[in-house]
Amino acid sequence: MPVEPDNHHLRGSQFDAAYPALSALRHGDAKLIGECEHAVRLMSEFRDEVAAPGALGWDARLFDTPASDISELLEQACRRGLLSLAIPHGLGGAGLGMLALSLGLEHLAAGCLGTANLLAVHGLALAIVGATGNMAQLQRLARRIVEGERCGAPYLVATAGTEAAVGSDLEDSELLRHARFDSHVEPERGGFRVYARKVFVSNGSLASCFVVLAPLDRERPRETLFAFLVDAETPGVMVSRVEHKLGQRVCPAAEVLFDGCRIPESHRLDTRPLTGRTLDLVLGASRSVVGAFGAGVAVGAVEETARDATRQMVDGRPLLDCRWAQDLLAHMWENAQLARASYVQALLANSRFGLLSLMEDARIRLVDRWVPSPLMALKPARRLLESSFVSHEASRLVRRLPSSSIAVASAHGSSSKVSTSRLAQENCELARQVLGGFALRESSGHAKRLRDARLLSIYEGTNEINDLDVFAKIWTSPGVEPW
Amino acid sequence: MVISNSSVGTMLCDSARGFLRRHGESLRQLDALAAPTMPQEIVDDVEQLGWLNPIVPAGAGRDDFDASMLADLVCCVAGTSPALASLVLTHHFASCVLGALPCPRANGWLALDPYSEPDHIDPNLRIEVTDRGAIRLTGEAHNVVGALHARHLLLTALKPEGTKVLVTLDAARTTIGEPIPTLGFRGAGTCDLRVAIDGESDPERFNGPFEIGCRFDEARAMLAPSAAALLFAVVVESNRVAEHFALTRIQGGRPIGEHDAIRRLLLRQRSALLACRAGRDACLAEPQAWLPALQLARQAACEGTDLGIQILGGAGYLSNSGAERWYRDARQASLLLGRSSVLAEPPKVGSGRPA
Repeated sequence: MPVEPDNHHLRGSQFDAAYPALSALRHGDAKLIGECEHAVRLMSEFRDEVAAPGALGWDARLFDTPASDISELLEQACRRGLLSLAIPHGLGGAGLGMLALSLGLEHLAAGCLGTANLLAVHGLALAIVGATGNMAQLQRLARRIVEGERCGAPYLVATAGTEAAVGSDLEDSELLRHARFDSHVEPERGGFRVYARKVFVSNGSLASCFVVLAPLDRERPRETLFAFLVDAETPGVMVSRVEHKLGQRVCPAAEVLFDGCRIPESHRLDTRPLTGRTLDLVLGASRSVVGAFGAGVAVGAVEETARDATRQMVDGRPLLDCRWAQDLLAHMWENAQLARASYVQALLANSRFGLLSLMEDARIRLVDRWVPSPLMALKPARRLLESSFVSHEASRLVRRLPSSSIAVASAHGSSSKVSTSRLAQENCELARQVLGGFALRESSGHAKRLRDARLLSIYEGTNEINDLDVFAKIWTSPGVEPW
Repeated sequence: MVISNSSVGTMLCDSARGFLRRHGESLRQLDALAAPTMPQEIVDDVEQLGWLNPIVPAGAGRDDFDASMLADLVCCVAGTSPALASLVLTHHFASCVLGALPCPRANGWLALDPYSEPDHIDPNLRIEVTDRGAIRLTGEAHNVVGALHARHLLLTALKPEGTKVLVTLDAARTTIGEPIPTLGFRGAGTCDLRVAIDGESDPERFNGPFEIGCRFDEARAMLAPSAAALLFAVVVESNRVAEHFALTRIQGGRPIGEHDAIRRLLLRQRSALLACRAGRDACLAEPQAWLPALQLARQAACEGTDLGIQILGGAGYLSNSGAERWYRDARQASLLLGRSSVLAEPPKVGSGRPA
């Protein structure tokens, strides 16, 4: 007999917010699972054939020289079309949704987290462009990424936000109010001049284009923070340093100097300042992807620990036969499953309520699947897509997203990022406890995984900043029910 | 931080301070290299200062051992170079095991694998004793710390019937590989080595095979305070870096140390530091409970140094921050003397692969 919901049970949108994974079934895209399988297959092949076999070698080279050439790795990624997986068919990409892409990234992160970040981090920059609703620039970048990929010259976009005195400040509106920006932007006829020294720019030394976050008025950063697009070839752009860091060395973190870079008005992504709402939209999605990284590390750690535990003999039997080792491995597997559940839920929440709900609208995706890409490359189609009308409509759609929906999506993203980073790190620590001295050897791969994973609880806002976000979004946002 | 109150202990710590004034900068620079070796002048200086002198007289047991002196020395050195502290600790680990063996006391540096549990893990060395008493010893040994400087190595080998035995060996009789890159302790010179001996009987170059007995467990009980002291020193340094950063990094118009979240992290780190010290003190006060006491120090050190990075945020992830090296070294140090899980297993001393 069907159960009738009563007033004490979750219903409608509240139910969807509490169980986004189930809600996705209600609103689901029938092709989703096939896409996910495709992405996992692609990324797993890349992991097994390129990323994992070369990971320790690249890591060692980049330890000695952080700016070492990794073009071989990027060329392989280009050949397999991995930089354009999420770009719509119409613009020449594979048109995969963010859930499919993230599942693929999880499998890549299981082999090499740094490589997963290398390929994914320009998605953060593209998400900022998308969240401003600037379709003209988004399409220009998408076409360049696709073109670059086809000719083996990867076109990467990097986000330049952090400064020496501005770190997590950017990710919390209260901290942003007091942030001490060193950068500033001067308006001039027809455009702007950007002055900034940005640090920890992921892929900074590889990027062809930067999304620079800087205030027009340093005294009022929260009210005057804008995003600007700066091509790496613009006079005044200089990579001044590539950092020596603990892990994820294959994804270089650079200090990039913007010394009076002249950019046209069209390269300011939005005429309105970046709001907390825009950043929430971006971070809700990008933190969910970091969740996929965490799950990948947790999975990779347990897989390789179980494999290595068969090779060590303790008192005449394989380590894997020891009860204590079995207990620890079971715990690691449980951690990996929790991490997976967490980030899939976060991505589905974002597909339902956040930025991805706009990008992955079932009707838009249907059009993208069926309209041939050559048609979209024709001049009239390009003119239409790059018109101010389309950008205006996209901005309007972004603005129409209810604040409570954005809050739910953001909270799920932050929560997933925090929990998966903890689970990933715990699994790396457990691997060390299971395997002992073997896991301390860099050649084992376990030491690298531990070093790589340590960044998960720092980037995209430290876990403490993410905790603040979860509380703010769940308990203080109007219209959001914690349960 | 000094806990020993004997004149010898004080003398050791004084000599360590002078030593670090001479070599501190060279020791710190080792961490910037992937797999450096400890400079010979430092190794020689350690030997001349008497830090390698036997702590356990031949034939003596735990009662004659003042574990606090070595713990103080290790703690003092580890604040600058956990790698060198681990070398000294490893030497004394081997020395404690050898102290009770019926063989001539070895001079100079000793080396062994301090991370695995030689009394539990089946070695990759095979030993055969022929009818005429000659020895055939072949195979490999891994993660041997101090092999590059050692005169003698302490290794375990597997007899054909599956019993594990101890041997001591002149380091010159082995082929020692290049130092292996490891997570932490850069400069300790961890190496793999290959042994191919057929017919050795000179007691200056080879001794054994000896039954393992309880020697490793006794040595661990003696060395646990030093291992905990090393961990304690590492957390002290991590905390020093974090507190300095918390005072000087301004966010939201005030030092981050005044932010609630960072205050809580600093509090947790201080607690970890105290737990680490408590672990060291418990290792000394209750030698029979050395394993849970050392485990407390291990967990606290891993948490404390993890917090050390977290307090610095992105800056903590950079190699020049001074935070990430303590994170790595704490994890390396937390396996010194062996895995807690293996050591907590019911003792199977002397047992091995079934015949």
